[in-house]
Amino acid sequence: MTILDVPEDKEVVIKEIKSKDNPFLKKIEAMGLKKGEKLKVISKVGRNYVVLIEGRKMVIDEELAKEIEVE
Amino acid sequence: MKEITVALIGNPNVGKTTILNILAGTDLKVGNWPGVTVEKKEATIKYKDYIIHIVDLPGIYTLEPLSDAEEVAINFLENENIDVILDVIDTQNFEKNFFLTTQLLEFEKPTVIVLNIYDEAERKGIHIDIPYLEEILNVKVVKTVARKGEGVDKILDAIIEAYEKKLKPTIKYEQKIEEAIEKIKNIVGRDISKHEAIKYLLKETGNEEIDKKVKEIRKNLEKFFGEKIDEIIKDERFGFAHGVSKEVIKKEKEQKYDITEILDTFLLHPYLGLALYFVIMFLMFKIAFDFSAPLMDWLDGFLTGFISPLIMKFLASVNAPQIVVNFFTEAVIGGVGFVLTFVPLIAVLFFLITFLEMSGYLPRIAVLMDRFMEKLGLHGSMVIPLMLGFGCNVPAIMATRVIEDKRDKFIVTMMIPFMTCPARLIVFAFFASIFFDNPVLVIMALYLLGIVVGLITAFFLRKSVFKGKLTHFALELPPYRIPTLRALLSVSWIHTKGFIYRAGTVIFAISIVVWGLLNLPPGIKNTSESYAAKIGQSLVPIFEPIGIDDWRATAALIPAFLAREIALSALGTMYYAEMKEEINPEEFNWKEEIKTQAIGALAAVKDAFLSMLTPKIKAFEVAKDEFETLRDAIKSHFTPLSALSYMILLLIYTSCVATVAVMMQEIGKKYALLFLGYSFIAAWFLAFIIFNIGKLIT
Repeated sequence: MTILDVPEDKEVVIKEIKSKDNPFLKKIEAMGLKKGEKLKVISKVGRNYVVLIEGRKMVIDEELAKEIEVE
Repeated sequence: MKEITVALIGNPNVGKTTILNILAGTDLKVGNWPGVTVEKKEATIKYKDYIIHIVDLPGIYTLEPLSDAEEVAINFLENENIDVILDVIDTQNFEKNFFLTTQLLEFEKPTVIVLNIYDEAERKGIHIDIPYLEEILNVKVVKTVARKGEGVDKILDAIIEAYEKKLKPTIKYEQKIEEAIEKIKNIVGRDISKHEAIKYLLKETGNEEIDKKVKEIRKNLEKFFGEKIDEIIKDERFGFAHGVSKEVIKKEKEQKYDITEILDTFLLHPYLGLALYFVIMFLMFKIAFDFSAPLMDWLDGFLTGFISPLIMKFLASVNAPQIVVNFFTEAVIGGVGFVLTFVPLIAVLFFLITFLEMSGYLPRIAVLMDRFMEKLGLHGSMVIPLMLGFGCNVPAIMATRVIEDKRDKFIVTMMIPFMTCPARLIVFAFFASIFFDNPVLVIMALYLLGIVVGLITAFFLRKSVFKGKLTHFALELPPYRIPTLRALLSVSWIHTKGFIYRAGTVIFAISIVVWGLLNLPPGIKNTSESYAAKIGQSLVPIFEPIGIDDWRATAALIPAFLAREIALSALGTMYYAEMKEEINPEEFNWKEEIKTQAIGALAAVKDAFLSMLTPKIKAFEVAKDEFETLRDAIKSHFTPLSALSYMILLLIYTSCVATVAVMMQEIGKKYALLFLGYSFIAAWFLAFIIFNIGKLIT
């Protein structure tokens, strides 16, 4: 499943970032949203997901969230 | 004295700016990196026996070239002669920040790591073993709480120590990779840094001989790890960051209480957050307008009632010719002075914007508003500069630098000049109160019209020149923090200084030209004989279709280019040359006057604070007693419709000279001038449509 399928407040682990060349995904990877990290979806505002990665709070849009495989 | 060049670098929101502010004090210089509109801050500090030159690099997460910001940093680190790397880390997110640190250590230059926000980290139960960190990396480490100024004084000593001891950071990757790096060093034949070696490994450099040999090494690594080289290196860096973190962090059990979480439940709430956003915006403009209004009034009085007579008295005593007197009172005080009276507004506005920025609230606005912007094909981050445009277009256009996407930045720059700034409000308030029963409603409608024109412009650009998908939304929401007064004052002063500088240069030059147009050819007795009048007359045919058939009104558009509200004083001068207040220089008692001015200044400060106690924005309450004589003159020369038309013209057209200057700097001369043309045509057509519809109805 991807971030899109994660219910709010449930902790999941990032399995893979599917698209390798998207600079936005590279940036959020450098921000800490990477393979093996625990992630929690806090809320959805418009097209955007507010997620929490061990102390860091990030906002990513649906298109990017779709590329992040979690379990 | 020895000189040390230091590259200051770190993730966004780690307190880099605050640290630099404390270190540099008022010596901070703000400019642009060549070729891109990424802000460059630098400072030169004399300390002990050293001249320490600190260059602040953009806040980034990685040294991979993802946008202008990273490229600026990479170029600087690779090509400049840097002695020390100063890396600022948010201690709370040690491991996440350390990804960038790892890439910096690869340069193998003397490095100082600043563990900032150390207090918050400790509160969260995070402790760092600093001596051990220094030992395993062979770097200097300083812990700071920049917000309170704690520990910052130790940074300069650490820089000097790292420099003098020529500390070379230790960084070890997987054996296979280390071997590959060694091989590359041999191939290149120089003692290159780990960074450079990895660069060869990641990408071909154009040197065929080297590339061929490196290709073999790359292939072997990819075979061994079963992944692409980019992935291997990325994993190694993440792994190193993780390893170091595990070694040096001692973590107690985490406390659940977090102020950011609590605030975000309200401020990021889809509905409540929106309501709070409007409250915050209202407060921001209320404070900006009302707090600065008494100060601006005082400054205006100080210039016309004190400085101007003082100059006149002096000039009279040296028997200066009338033309010189006029030049000083009209061009210098009237032009530059008039623009300078806006300094309190600009300063307060910058102060509040800096507060919102440093507190961490700005990115939340982008998230909240993205819902609406997205429907128009626009990006949430665009709201921030647009919102600032209501305060002043100049800082708003400068704020577009936060937008990463060049296309989005361009679009939003084209929208900002349509946001009504207080300078336009002054003109609107004046005209609306003369011709309309409900001036506030008219003013509101004009504000709305500006927004609509901005949106239409953006929509048009998105559908024509900038087709394509909406830019992604990916940003970090930093924890909320209360900025220090010191940092706030220092940052807002830098921007205010820039405004004053422009007033003294570009705006002064244009003032002289405008004054010349109004007073030349030499020997004219009345403005109606001046070049300005001639230009005004020749412009009349253009403006006649929109109901403005008086040459004085069209001529006033020329000085209005300086700042829109100057249209009023220009109209004043042209309708009534005798309207100018005559102060007999002989009667001017400067001792008395200084007293009056000082008392006035105190009263203005008192009024500024008192105005905070009323719930309404006073600037919107239309004053009826100002410009009494001009009021009557305007009444007989304009109709309500032509006044409306004139207001629309001033709203949509004439980005003021300061705005055009900053647009040229941000998007280039060509586009800035193109925009000027576009805005004029748009203004004319809108005025034409509204004027003619109005004529049909009445």
